Amino acid sequence: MFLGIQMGFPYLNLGQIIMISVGLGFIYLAIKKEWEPYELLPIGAGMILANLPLTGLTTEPGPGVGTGMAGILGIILKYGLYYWTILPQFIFFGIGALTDFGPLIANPRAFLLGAAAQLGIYTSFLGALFLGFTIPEACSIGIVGGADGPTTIYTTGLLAPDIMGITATAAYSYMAMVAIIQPPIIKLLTSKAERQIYMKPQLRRVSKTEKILFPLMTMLVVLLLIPKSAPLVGMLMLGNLFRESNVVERLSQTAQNELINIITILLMLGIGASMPADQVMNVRTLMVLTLGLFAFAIGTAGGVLLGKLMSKFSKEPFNPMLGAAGVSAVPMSARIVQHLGQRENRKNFLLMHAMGPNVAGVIGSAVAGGYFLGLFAK
Amino acid sequence: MINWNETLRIVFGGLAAVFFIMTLLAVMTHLVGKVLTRIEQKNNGGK
Repeated sequence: MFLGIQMGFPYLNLGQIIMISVGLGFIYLAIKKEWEPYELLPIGAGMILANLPLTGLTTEPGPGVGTGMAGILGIILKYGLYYWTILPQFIFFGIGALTDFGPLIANPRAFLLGAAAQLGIYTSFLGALFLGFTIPEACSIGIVGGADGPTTIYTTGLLAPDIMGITATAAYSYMAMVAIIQPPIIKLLTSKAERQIYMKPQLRRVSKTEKILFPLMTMLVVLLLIPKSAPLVGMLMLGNLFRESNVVERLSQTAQNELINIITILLMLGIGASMPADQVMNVRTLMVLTLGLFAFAIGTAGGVLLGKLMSKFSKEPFNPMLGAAGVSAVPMSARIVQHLGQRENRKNFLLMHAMGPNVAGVIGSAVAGGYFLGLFAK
Repeated sequence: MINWNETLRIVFGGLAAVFFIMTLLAVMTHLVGKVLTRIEQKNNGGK
């Protein structure tokens, strides 16, 4: 007690101090290094707030919690992530409104690269089972390999909410570290000659009608085959339809800006807040982080290996590095491919080619998540 | 104890589902593009 006020200091334990330090580290990386600042800054802040003792910020509403006693982070966690899980779905809606699927429509082969890059999900799933995780937990850990934050959050929220904070943080952290993780794998699996393969920078022109039909077609096909992916793929394509229809410009702009910004604040604060020290400071967390990294690396390798195969059989020159963009870290993976391509061959502009598999990866990881949910979600 | 039958069913089922759906989408996108391009060319030719 100090001046009659109950202080938090005496209740601060080592675990909380470590988590607060990690939160500060995230804020440092976001501000100083500009690593995924829109994600890492609010996650770091959420971590700090959730680990300060006696604040009551993470108290969830429910039986035994009086009126006005629930904390804002607890409300976000309970209704936004655990109970209704609406936040990742709205993020997907915003991403749909922001995404131009033109490069994918112009080169539909990229769908296959987006599929191959999901290989990491299933190998990491196996790894998690070996290490003693339950099947739903293994599914959630595997999904990190899709390098898709909202899909990871949504799937984990429904299958293994206890590890949601860690899987989400792993997904966003590895997305931020694409430039460190992917290049060595790409170089290991491709020869210099393969990396130098020149591709014409222009893709074919995609008509407005194609762009409008694409979200409708994708929505129908995916949702009829894997209905449980509807909250992700359905919202993604709905957002994209808003964008491409050109008749609901205000709604599209709201989805692309205000809505996705508001939801990002809530979602990332919630993710940070889902990591109180007593839940996170254990060996399992290290295992999840390692498996997530492994999944991401295998996903990259899967894409590159299929890229090599496609390069062998393609009539037109095809650079196998494009496969690495099949993980859905948009647009970072595509930029890495562009950067490496330019370094090997100054004439090469692979960015638009790489955007195809990159956006296909978003669909692929949502399908993989929907598959797991179809099997195990209650 | 890992149930290998169940595990392999999940892994191969998942991979098959992802590849099947993505291949289907690739084929459909390709066909829609082809049809629409042809219609567009026809319309332009008519003018």
